[in-house]
Amino acid sequence: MPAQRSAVKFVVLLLPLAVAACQTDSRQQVLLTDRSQVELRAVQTRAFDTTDKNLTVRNVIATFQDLGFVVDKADEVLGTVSGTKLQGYTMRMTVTVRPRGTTQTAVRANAQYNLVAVSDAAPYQQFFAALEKAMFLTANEVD
Amino acid sequence: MLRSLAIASALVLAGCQQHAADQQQRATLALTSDTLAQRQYTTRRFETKDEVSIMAASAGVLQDLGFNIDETSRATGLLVASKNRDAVEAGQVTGQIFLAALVAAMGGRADPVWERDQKIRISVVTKPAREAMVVRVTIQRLIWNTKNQISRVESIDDPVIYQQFFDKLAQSVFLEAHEI
Repeated sequence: MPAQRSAVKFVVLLLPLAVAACQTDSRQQVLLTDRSQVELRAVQTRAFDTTDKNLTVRNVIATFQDLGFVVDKADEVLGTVSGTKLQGYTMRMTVTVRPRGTTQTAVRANAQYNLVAVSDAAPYQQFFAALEKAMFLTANEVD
Repeated sequence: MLRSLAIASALVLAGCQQHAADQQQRATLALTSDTLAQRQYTTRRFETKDEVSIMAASAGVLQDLGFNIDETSRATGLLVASKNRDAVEAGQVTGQIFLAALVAAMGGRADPVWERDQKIRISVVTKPAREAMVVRVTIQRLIWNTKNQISRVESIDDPVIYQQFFDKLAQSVFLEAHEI
């Protein structure tokens, strides 16, 4: 079938072009993001009405474990927690906990899913919903 | 013609998009109906207020099991450890060799591959609770095949394994307390 054959030819011709359009220099990945800094921070950050940093860090760890992560590292002074979830895929996540004003604690999370940064709002909403339950506190959006 | 071109380009370009795995990403960070059951079998409560002694006992169990400790954080009650071990399973090897023999018999070229080694990772977390310490454990593993490719990554979700770990921990807590 000549029509089919020419279609195949087109795909073959198209393939290198299309792939080339994606990435010409993989070093660009170092500074590449798919959302602005402001957007990303809004999606990834919530404020809790507590000043107890240790408790917050421990609750982040508990939430990680609830979600099936193995915790890789935790540092109470810096307020950082990192974890990995392996379930046919690899999700790596880091959470930072720091004081916000005099009455609140800000929690920021960022994650990668296999080779892709997680920048969609929904996964973070799920994460903070789980953290809320562990904290017995509401996760307030920050601006 | 045009249609097949359009379909082809859509397919090709979809490959380079930021991967619309949204649904899956969302599921990864959502609590599920299994969460509670999992929490139960991965958690054990010890009647003590001494967090350091529980952490020390946990480190002892990890060493008993041949783990090396990668990271500890006293202030947050965290111990992380790992070990590399054999992952060869007789059934898999037999199956692969049988398959290879079958392919070879039919004149094909066979390339049997099976799972060879694994890295087991574990985090043990202690948390003060009312008049007690709660210990929670999560375990996962990465498996490499005979071609040195990662063939599988998974969480360990067999309650029996956790049960056995905690039995050993209970024993270790006893041993630590009595300094044997």
